Amino acid sequence: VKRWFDRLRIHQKLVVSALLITGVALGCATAGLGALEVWRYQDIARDDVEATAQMLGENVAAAVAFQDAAAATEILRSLRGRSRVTRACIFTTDGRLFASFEPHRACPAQPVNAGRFEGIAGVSTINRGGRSLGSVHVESSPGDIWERVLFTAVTGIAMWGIAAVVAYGLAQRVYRSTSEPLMKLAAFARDFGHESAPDPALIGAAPDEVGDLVVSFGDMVGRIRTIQAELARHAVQLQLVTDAMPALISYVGRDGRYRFVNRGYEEWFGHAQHTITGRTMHDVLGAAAFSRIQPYVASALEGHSVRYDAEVPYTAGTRYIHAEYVPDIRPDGYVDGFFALVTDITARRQAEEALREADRRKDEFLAILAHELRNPLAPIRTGLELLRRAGNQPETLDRVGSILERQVVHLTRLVDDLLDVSRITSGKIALRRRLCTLKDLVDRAVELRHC
Amino acid sequence: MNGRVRALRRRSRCAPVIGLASALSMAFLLAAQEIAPLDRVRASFLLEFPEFVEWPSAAWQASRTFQLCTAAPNPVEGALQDLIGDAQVRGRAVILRRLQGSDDPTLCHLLFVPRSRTDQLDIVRRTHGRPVLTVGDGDEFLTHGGVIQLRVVEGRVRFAINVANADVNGIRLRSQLLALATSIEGDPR
Repeated sequence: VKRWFDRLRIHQKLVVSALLITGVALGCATAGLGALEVWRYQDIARDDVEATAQMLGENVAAAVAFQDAAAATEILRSLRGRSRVTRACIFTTDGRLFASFEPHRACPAQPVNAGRFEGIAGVSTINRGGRSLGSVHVESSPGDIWERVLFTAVTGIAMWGIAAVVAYGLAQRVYRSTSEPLMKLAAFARDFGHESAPDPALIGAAPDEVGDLVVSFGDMVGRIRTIQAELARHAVQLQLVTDAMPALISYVGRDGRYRFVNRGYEEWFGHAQHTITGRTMHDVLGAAAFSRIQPYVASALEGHSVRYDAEVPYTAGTRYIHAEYVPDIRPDGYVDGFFALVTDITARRQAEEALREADRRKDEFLAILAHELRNPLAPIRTGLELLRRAGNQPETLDRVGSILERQVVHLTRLVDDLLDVSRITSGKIALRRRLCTLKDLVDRAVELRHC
Repeated sequence: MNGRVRALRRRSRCAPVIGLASALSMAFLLAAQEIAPLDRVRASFLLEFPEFVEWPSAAWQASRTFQLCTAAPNPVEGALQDLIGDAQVRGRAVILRRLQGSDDPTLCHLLFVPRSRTDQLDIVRRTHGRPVLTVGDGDEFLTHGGVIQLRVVEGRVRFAINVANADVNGIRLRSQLLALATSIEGDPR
C-alpha cells in the first residue's frame, strides 16, 4: 500500500489522504453514534420492558393470588399491541409457569435469570401485602435497532461520499494552484538542463511531481555547473590573453573601481594584480594622474567612446599614453562601466622627437653647404670675366689662373668632405681608432694646407 | 399447594432458618394430611381477600390485630390454622376465632360463614352496615347479604361478589378482585 501511495501523483495523494481522513473521522463518528444509538435504544427499551414488567406485576397480583391463570393470561394479552414483546411469562414462587403470553417465543418451564433471556428482558416480582407471589418476566426483541444502526452506517457512507466529492474538487483545485506551477518550473528546468546527463542519484527520488522537479533541477544544476566551468575557463583564457598584451587592459565599473585588470597594471604601478581589483582609479593612479584623465572617464561613463593621447603624471613616473575607453552599455541604455585600453607611447614620442631634430639639423647643414659651395663660385665667375678681358696679358693670366685653381681646389675639397660625411652617415666608412702623435697630425695638416 | 405455602414461608424468613422452616413445614404437612386440597385453597383465599379490600379506619379502632372469624366448625378452619402461623395480613397479626352462638360478629374484620351454619341469614344480617367482610360458601350466601361467595367451577375454587352488600358494610373491594370474580351482583350501575 505504501509503495502504491508513493507512486501516486500529488493531487491523487491529496484525494486519497482526504478520503482516508474523512473516512476514518466519519467511521469513528458513525461508530460512536451507532454505539450511542444502540446504547440509548437499549436503555430506553430496558426501561420500557422493566416498566411493563412492573405494571404487569401489579396487575396480575390478584390473579396470581387467587390462582386465576386465565385472568392472568388475559392481562398478559394486553401486550398484543406491543409488537416487540416476544414473550411474557409469570412464574409462581414455587417455580411453576403460571401464565404466559408467547407471540414469538415459548416460555421456559422454569424461571430463569433475566440475563438468560435473549434480547431485552425485564423482571418484576409480584408482591401482595409485602409477600412475594411470583415473578413476571417480559422479553422484548431488539427490534429495529439494527435497522437504525444500518441507517446510521448508510448515512455515514453517504456523508463520506459527499466528503469524497468535495475532497476531489479541492484536490483538483490544489493541483491547479500548486502542481501546475511546479510542473511548469520542472519543465523549464528540464529544458534548461536537457543537454546534461541526469544525475543517477536523483532518478526515482520521488515518483510524483516533486520527483520530476528534483530530476529537472538536477539536470539544470548539472548544466549550470558545465556553464560555470566553461566560464571559468574563458576567464582564465581572457586573463592569459590580456596579460600577454603590452598594454593596460581593464574594466572600470560605474563607481570608478577596477573590476578587471591585466598584468600591465602590476608592472606599471607596482601593486599585485589581485590587489588592484576593487580599488578606485583615483587610488591606483594617483590624484594628479586621475585629475588629468578624469574628463575622459566621465565622458566614457556617459556612454561615449573616448580616444586620446595624453602625458600623465603617474606617481611612478610620467608616461605618455594613448588610451581608448569603450563604454559598456546595457540594452536599456544604462552605462555599467567601460573597458580601457592604454598603451605607453613615451618611446615612440621620443623617437619622433629625435627624427624631427635630425631633420632640422640636415636642413641647417644643407643651407650652410649651399652657402659654402656658392662662395668659391663668385671668384671663379670673376676670374673667367678677367680672362675674357685680359686677352694675351701673361701676368694677368697667371694671377687669374692661380685664383681659379685655388677656388676649384677649395670647391673640390668641399665636395670631397660632403661625400665623406655622406659615407659616414650611411655607414660606408668605418673609423679606425688608433694612437698617434699630435706632431704627426699637425705636420700633416700644414702640408695639406700649403699644397 | 403445599409447595406454595412452603415457598411463602421461605420468603418471609431469613436464610439461616431455612432448615428449621423446612422441618416445620414437614410437620405441618404431616398434620394436614386429612385436609382436602379445595379447603386449603379456600383457606388461602380467605387470607388473600384482605389484601384487595379496604376497611374504613373505624374498623381498626377496636383491635390492632386482624380478626379472622369463622361462624361454624368446618374443614377450612384446619387449613387456616396450618396457613396462618405467624403470617400477617395487611401488616397485622392474624387472630383466628371461632364465633360461638352469641358472639358479636361485628368485631370481626373477615367473617367466614360455612354452609354448615344453619342461621346464615341471621349472622350475616347482624353484620349489616358494619365493616365486616363476609365470605361464605353457601348457595344463597349473596342473597342473604354476604359479600363474597366461594364457588367451585370446573374443579377450581372461584368466587362471586355482591358489591351492594359490600357498600352497605362500608368496605371497598379493589378492582383487581372484582376482575377475578366469576360474577358480580348488586352492581349499582
